[in-house]
Amino acid sequence: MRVGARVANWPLAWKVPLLAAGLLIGVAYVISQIVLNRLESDQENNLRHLTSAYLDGLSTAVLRSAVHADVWETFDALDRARDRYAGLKVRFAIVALPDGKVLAASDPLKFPVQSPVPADIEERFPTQDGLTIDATSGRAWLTRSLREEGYSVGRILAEIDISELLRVRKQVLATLVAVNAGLALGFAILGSFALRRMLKPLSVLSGYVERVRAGCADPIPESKRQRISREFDLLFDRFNAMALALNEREELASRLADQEKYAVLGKLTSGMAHEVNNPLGGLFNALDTLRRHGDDAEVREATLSLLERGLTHIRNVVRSTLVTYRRGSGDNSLRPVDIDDLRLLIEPEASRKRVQIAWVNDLHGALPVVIESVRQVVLNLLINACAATPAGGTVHLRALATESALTIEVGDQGPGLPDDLAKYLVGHSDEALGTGRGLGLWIVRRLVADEDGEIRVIQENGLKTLIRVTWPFRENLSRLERAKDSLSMEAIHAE
Amino acid sequence: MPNEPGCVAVVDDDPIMGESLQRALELEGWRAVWWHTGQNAVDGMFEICPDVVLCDIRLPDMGGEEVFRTTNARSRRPSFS
Repeated sequence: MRVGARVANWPLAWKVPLLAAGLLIGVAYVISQIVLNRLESDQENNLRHLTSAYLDGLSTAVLRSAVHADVWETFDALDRARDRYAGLKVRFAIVALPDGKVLAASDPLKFPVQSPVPADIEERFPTQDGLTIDATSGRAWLTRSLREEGYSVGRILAEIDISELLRVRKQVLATLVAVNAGLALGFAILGSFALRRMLKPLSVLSGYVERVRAGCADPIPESKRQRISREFDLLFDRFNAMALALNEREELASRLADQEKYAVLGKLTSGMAHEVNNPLGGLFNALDTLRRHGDDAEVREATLSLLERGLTHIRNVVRSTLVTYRRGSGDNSLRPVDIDDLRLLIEPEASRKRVQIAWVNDLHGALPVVIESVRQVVLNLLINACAATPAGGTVHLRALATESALTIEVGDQGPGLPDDLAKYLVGHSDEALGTGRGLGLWIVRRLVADEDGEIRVIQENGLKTLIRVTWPFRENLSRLERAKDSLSMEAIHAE
Repeated sequence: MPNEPGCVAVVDDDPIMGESLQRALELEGWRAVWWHTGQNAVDGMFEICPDVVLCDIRLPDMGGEEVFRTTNARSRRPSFS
């Protein structure tokens, strides 16, 4: 099973030639078998004809002497037949009488006259007239009955050496195997080269498609399109059109994200103005107090402390706004205060909606995530949570970090996120995209996906919504990106 | 018998505005109280009965107008929002 899976992963440029070679070997095997069978059949037929002619001649020559049991005449006939049929390679020939005793044999020392034919020799011969072939020992045995006027007067038994025929058969087999193996190997190598050449554009295309998957939609350059077939030329054209469309879409998405960021700023502006204006009024009160009662040291000290606190608050609000909307800060380290700052931005909006904020920030030290992206995502989620939560309700935020990731949860007490938006947010469906709703969530999904993060939506009885976003730390991300880059470059160079 | 100073209530969730107003009013000789939320104001109004109420229009739990309507039904004290 594992071997099968491994073979399935081999490149086409290997699999197809190997398959073709395998088929060629199969065909060659079948053809070789047919040729060998035919050869064997032809050889056997020739042998039958030859042995038949030999027995015809010999039986005619020995019949008379067998009737008269004339040993010398029979021996003489056997001797002449050996010279005449030398090409047949007769190892021995016996003329046996009906009682099974030897009348005469070509080898009288081995088969003396009037001795019984040895049982181990006798059993090799066919009981009826005919020919028995044993390819293993390279021998053939012939039997012919001698009859005179319907009476049996004896049998001719002859053993023939057929090793020459078998040698020829082996030679033919070796030639067939060598030729077929050579042809199969040659065609497999040629096929492999031809196929690799034909599939080269596919490897290039596969590499660029892999780069798209890794988030880089580069068109295929002209230098990679030389000497390719018309079909691949069209395919490359379509891929380049798709890469162009993807890049345009990415650019549009980037612009939309920027616009959405400033739209959020617009939403928060009135609340933030209130947040700055209120302490400003208090600061003017404090200034007036200083003018009228500044001579009193205790009043002066208390009023200056109030002024300092008010100015610090205004500075924090302004700084938080600047950090959120500063373009391309490139800061890849998030501190706990960067999350707490967001509270300053969302609190005016929450106050306007009369929504309480429950804030738990369990972060410690700097975390390797893209601060700008995380803050925009959290701010969008907080704005949505404030909008969904009815007056008197509470919006929850909890931030925590593990060894490898940052997790931020934003919960609300609204009526629940509609199914299509929830599915869209976690990336299971794009249905909500065409409805014109949820641009803020679209930005959230995109920003989180850009950082290889994960979003989960947890709905409790359809009455409360908790959105949990997890960002892997940049060290982990860098490893992931390196792996992706390496994969895509391997695919491109696998030519 | 010296005149009892008037009581001014400040209703504002902003700590700077609330504290500065309370301090200024006290320095000017008024008795000042500061409530952070509308509900605190509604509850405190019936206990203290301030002479003047200075109320922020936007409070975390209810608007200044709502505080005025709720308390005005029982009290005729003047109020500024």
